[in-house]
Amino acid sequence: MSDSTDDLYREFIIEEYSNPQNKGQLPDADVVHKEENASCGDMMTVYLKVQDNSLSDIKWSGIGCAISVASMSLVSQYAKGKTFAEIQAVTKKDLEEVLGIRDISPNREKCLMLGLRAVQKAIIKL
Amino acid sequence: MNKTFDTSASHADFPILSRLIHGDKHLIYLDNAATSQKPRQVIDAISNYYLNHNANVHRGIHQLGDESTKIFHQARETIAQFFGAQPTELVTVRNTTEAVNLVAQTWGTANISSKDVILLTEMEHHSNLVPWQELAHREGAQLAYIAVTPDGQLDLKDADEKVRTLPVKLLALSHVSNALGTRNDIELLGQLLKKYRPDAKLFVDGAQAAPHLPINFHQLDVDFYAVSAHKMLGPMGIGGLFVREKLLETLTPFLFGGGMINEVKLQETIFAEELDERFTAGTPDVAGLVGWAAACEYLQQFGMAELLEHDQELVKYTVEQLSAVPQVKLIGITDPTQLEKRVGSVAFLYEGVHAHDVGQILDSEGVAVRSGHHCTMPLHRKFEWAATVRVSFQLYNTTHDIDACVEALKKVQKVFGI
Repeated sequence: MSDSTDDLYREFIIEEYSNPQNKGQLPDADVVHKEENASCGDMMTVYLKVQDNSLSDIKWSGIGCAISVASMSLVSQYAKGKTFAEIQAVTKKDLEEVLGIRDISPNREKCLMLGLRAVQKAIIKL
Repeated sequence: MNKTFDTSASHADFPILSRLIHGDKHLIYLDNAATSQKPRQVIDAISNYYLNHNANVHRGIHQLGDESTKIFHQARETIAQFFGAQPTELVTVRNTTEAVNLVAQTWGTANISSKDVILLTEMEHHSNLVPWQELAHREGAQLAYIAVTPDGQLDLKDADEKVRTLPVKLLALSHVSNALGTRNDIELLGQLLKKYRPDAKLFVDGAQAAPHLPINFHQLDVDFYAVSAHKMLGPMGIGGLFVREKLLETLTPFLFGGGMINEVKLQETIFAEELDERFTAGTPDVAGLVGWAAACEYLQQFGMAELLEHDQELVKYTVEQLSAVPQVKLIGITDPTQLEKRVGSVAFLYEGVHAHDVGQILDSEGVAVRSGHHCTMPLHRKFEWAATVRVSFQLYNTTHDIDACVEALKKVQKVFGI
């Protein structure tokens, strides 16, 4: 496989995709936000519970490819307990680093960013 | 397998097919429904126009201006002839999407009111849906949709009922579905419309039909027929809307400005009498037309009927081969006795793996396919397909390409352990 595809389908990404963290719903969520990737039909809904200026709990539901699900899973795990400012400061570069992807292709960037965008927009809605 | 058409003869005409992907993989291009590759003859025709004949049309009284104008009209004639239409019936646009917008904004605005129903189908590409939706919202008209059956065909009983019972003023549908490959029976639906709604118009999106079917605009007996050059070996950025001459005469121009006028005064303008001029505002894409005409000639040397047979062999072979992959679930028509209604593409779901991931892994093996909802979100939503993988064909594809695709699918299983 090419370098880029090797990057995208490392064992730990497939593992994260197959056993994603924080999947589910929060019935008493303070904010719910659904984010869609119009180019491929992926959608993620995030449920946030907040305390002061930080995230006390997060769950998410939705469908997506290995990249968007793995990314959503890792974002949700990272965001738990973090302040809003810390979450808003997360960038595409950070996600690439965590997932071990060098320069995500333009056609997959939206997959990588879907979950993060969902959480960041949900916080703005608060 | 009967071979009706020797693809190897055409392969050399497409230099891009010889390039390598990701270093050392041979390109297997199966994303033709998105856009086809272009033969050297098309690229050379465009290049020759700019190298030797470039000048604006209908303007300069000089040799280049004359040459360019002649080339422009010759190209329009070649294209119109290819589709069985008169050059005066060809309105050039950028693509099929623009053609739909043109009809919605001109004929639609003048003829659709709050009493009318615009009838579409559930399998329409967004380009043949969103402009009508906008028109309906603007005019307060109703939208209705002919249902699609689980095997990917139009429900003709539903079509009959809707045409019979609703005040349908326009039926707009695709000749061939870009997501399902289903070839709709335009003649039958046209007759149905004429029987119950003689004043209604029939708009056909021919974007996916033009690359594969012999098309005769007059024989089809439709009011509007829209195509894009780039899906039929021509360049991007040029397409055509065929409109019956009598109908075209009644339409107001879509775009206004230079080139489409007869006389301009400070307070009013008289538009050009010649229909092709009235609908060509500004400098036309002459090189695009030249490239498109070259594409028509290129296709014609093989014959559209022969090319359709070649396509049918690929469709049949692909359905057979993909059906044998346990994780694959095909969408659309798969019944061997119905397969002649499937044209140009075969789409599928891969159990447990998202279409994007399938596409990415196929790409790593040099196999280019499309994955996603193929701009048919309502269709995907109806059948709860998150996203599908589509392989689509052109004359240069062979059964070996399908074999390579099926072989590459084994990697998906390996990577995902499914």
